[in-house]
Amino acid sequence: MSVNKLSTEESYKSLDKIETDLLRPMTHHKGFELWILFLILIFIVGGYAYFIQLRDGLGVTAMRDYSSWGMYIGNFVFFVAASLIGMFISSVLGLLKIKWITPITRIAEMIALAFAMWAGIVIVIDMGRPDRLLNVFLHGRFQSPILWDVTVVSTYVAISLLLLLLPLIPDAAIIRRRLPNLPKWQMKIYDLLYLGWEARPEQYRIIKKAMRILAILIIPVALAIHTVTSWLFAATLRAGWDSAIFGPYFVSGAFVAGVAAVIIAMYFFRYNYKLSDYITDFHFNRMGQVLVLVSAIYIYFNLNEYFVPAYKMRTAEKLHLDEMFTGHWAILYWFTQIACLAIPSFLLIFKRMRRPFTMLWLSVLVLIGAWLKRFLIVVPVQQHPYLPIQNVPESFHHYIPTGIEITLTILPFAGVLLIITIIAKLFPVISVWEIAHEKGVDESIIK
Amino acid sequence: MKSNLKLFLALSLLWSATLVMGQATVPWQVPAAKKSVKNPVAVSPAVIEKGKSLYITHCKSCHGDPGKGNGLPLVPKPTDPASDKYQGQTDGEMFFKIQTGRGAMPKFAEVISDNDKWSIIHFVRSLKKKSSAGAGEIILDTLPADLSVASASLSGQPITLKLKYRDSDTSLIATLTIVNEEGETVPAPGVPVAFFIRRYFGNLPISEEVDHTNQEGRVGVSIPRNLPGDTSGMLHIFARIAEPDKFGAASDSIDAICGKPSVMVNITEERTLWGRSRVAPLYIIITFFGALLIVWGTMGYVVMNVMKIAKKEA
Repeated sequence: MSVNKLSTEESYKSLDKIETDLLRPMTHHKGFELWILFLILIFIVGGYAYFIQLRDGLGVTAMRDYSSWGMYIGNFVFFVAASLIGMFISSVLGLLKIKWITPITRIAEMIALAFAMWAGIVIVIDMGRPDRLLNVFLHGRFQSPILWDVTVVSTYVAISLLLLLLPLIPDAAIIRRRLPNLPKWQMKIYDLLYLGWEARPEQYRIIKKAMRILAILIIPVALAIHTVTSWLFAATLRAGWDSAIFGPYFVSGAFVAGVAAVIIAMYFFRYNYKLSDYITDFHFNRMGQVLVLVSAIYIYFNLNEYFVPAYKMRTAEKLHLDEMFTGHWAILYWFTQIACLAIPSFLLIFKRMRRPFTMLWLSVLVLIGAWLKRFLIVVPVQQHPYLPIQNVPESFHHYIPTGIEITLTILPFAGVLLIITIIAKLFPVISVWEIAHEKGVDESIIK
Repeated sequence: MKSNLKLFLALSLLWSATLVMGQATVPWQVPAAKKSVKNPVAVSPAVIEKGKSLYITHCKSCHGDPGKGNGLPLVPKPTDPASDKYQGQTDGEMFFKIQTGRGAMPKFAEVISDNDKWSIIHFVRSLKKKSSAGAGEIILDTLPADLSVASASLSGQPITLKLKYRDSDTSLIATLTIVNEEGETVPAPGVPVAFFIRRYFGNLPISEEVDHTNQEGRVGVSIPRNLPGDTSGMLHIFARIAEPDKFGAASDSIDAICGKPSVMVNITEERTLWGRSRVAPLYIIITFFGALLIVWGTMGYVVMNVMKIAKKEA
């Protein structure tokens, strides 16, 4: 796609339109207060549930000696998975010089940062004694995936934050110029962030170089974050977790969850923020194709992960796989695999299905399936310990999440939405300067 | 050749397994002479208490809590000592079985002293009485009044055993004496003495044969020089009269540096994947901090660079 340079006059006109369109939602956001109120309400209820859990201990959850990892760990894996999308869109596709991603990179980065930050909090929710969190760093074992996990999650949060903030530098300058009447505290943020941006060529050079370095750096870190998360399971001998392909299996699944999340966000922003000139049917079409691609890869890994052991049916694996295929978990398993993965990705092969509205619902299905899949990876395996405990209480034999667990699952999701809402309120959800750049606006006036 | 060896090993393993299992199914015959042996230790609440604590240390892990039938699910299942089947045995039978062991039941001959074994048997007997009495009170008055330690000795007097270690030829000499009717201390000849070295589980006899004291009341044994001792080569040695039923019980112990010093390798101090963080394999520590340094270093570099945006045009 070659960019036609616009004349100075055209540039000003074009930039003005882009700025007006993209900055409008920051000041015109109907129902914003109501939405925030709703999220705060969830926080109050969730906070109370957490208070109960802190006061009474993890006994208020359904976790027992068999299933000592429950929905919380499933949430953690899901959050880490969804956060990988930032790396996928802005790094993998960006480094491949795929142009159409420009209007959705920031959406992907927002989702990535919000999920990564909450992944760290979700894991604390799973701790019976969160006051001992520091011990992980003080006494953590270098040999344990847990220490690597906390390290790599915090590193990924930091890089994601940088990747979100860097492209905001020119935009902060634009906001200062266009919206000088914003509240004082908000203006302070832009004053800090814009770093005296004057659209000088060397400033462009610096920012582009920095973004490029980070785009490369985030790839191994993002792969590490989800691979290490998979090793939390794969480093054990449990049937169902003891798998050599868990790393790529998790990573490929993460892209499915992330792409679905981005499509949902795209839909929301396109209609609520009236950005249909920027997030077009073309972008949905492309993202639909991406979803088909990543789903196909994920289905391939699923085949390997389930049907290779199922061909052999070793004693311990058989117990687990029978429960998944035909036993206790069968309905959930096949619903996840067929309704939430196979069918949506098959439908999206057809062009007429790759339209915003159908894609929204297919993506919602895929995202629900992605969450259910994490649950199915974490929980059922633990019902078949190699060394069964004698005379166990009845409650050990099944795992049905309690109300507290469900509330504390909704809480982090609300938290993710809150972070995205705040970022989307403070900054344009589409990078103004990059869009202007793409439209051929004279670089030197973007300040 | 190699596969032949493997086959042989597999077959012999199978054979010994069948032997062990076969043994277990055959009733445990105790020789009539051993069956009728009476408990030589006088019963008292203290003895029962001691027997109980010994039971907890040595027996409970397999036989479980008496009366609860919660022993290990082995084949055959270790008998509950409070059961009728167990209580139906004579004291001598119990003693013999503890002494010799069979199958999964270890041999306790040299693990705990005979007196201690009899104490355990007193404890086990008290269980029966407890249940039949119903009140939980241990009834002692139904037992023979005096079953004090059989101190049968040369002249009815207790023998004293003194153990000495001679460094020059690493030998042990036990001197046995007795106080005669005139009150003089005289040598005790013809008494069998057994020498042992204490090990973690049981005692290691120093010599296969049991020698008797000579006219001076002495008996000696030389210690092999290749026995592993503790880190300083120390061995914990003791000697006791081999037939306490006949001669009375006496023993003495001594510590001597006559073994090979053991080089104790504390595997928890080695760098392993399963060890503590402090002994993590170096490559993991290097990878961890190396990766951390590269990633955070690059991020630092990027931030420093971006700060240059703020620099005013020269």
